[in-house]
Amino acid sequence: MTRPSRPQAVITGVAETPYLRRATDVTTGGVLADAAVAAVRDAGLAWSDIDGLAVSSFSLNPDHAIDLAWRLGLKLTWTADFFTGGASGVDMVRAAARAVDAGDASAVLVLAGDHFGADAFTAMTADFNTATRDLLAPLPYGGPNSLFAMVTDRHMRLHSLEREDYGQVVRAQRAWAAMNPAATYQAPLAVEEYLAAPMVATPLTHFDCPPVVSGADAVVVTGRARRTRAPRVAIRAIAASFNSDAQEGDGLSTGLADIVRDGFWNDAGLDANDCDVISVYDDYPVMVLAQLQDLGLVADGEVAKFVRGKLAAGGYPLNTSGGQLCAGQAGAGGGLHGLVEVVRQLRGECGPRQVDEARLGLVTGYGMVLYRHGASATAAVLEVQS
Amino acid sequence: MTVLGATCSACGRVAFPPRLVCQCGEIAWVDTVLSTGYVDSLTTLRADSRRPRSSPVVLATVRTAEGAAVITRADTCLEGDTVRIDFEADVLWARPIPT
Repeated sequence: MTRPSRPQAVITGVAETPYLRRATDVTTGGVLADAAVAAVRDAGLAWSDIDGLAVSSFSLNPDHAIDLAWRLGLKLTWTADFFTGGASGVDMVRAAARAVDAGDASAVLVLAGDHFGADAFTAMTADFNTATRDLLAPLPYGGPNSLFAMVTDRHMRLHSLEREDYGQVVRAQRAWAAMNPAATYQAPLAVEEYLAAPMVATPLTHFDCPPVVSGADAVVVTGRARRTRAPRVAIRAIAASFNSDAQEGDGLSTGLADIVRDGFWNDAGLDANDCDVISVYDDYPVMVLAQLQDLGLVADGEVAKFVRGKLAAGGYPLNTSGGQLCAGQAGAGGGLHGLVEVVRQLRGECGPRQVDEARLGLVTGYGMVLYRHGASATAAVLEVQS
Repeated sequence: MTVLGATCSACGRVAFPPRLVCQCGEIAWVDTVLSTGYVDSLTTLRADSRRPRSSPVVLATVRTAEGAAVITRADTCLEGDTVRIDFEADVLWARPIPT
């Protein structure tokens, strides 16, 4: 396959609504609209400048992107719905950039978010797809927590890790979350508190599972010629992999391994350790570690050394918002959450948690559990333009 | 009730759940009974928002003799156990095979 060219389109606006726990006075359309308006303002564009729309949302149903465009008052030349779960954020930005580069649109609004009512989240996990409805829900399986508990079980044995090691992932992110006033969990997390937390599905506790919130994230992608309010953020490399192991592997190697093998770092013109700030999709601590391995940021056989050394030392610029494990998981919005954080870091807008001289950022997406583990993976390297 | 996987008639890959088309491009499959395997990993589900006051449930990933991975109830199993799998009232169960 011919290597894709580096996108010329740039990211010119980002926004995130407040992430709300157990919200009863919001709607999916409402949080998406809030994020959309804020991102377009952040980009310094007029509402009428938007001529492309990409949407990922589990709870927008029965509406789709075209319904949302109508409700948002947008007149478009390009639109698309994305159902690639936690990978959808980067996936949408890739498609939006290609659409802008091709001339199909000039300013694309990328939206992701959800509001789940009282029983809506559990209802979704019981009817997520055919395999879930027919094979998992009757067990019962309790949603993805039990599936990733078994992935964690395999990972623990393979790498001789203890529960405290997964707790260290959460605790490191909690340290960043303490500097993010928008995070759901901001208080420091002691190892004793982590270990004593209620067990959800062995070996996962309450703190290993992201808190479900209502909210949305948005990104604006335009051509480079647009005048913008904030510094533009360029896309040095962007790639995706779907159904990499057909659900037949151990779940410990994601599609990111394929992406890297296919030349991702070469496309970026970088080595794995060159990025100043990293957002790795964190639906569970085990998947943070698995993705870091796939990306080449943690060497084979050195997972324990990484966790107990670099991560425990503090300050490693990974999931600096606190990630979904601390900031919250707004359904499909989780796929854009890390990207919005990295863009803000690259623009120097993160206040007390700002990473010094952040110029290059890595973002991944992962998700869409088909039967046993996620089937979608995406990665992007972003670079702020002076 | 037996657990039916599918074997690709061209490349021999065994799939569970059965797929529409094999990765090799073949559309013809042969029904394959999956009956035994070993417990690859286990979890005890203690918190389930759909069943707030229910008893814990043990789940397993069973790797069948044919190589397919199947998720089952496994209330009496331990990791590494050799197990028999079958459907009971729409629920896939694994039970240890006495040695």
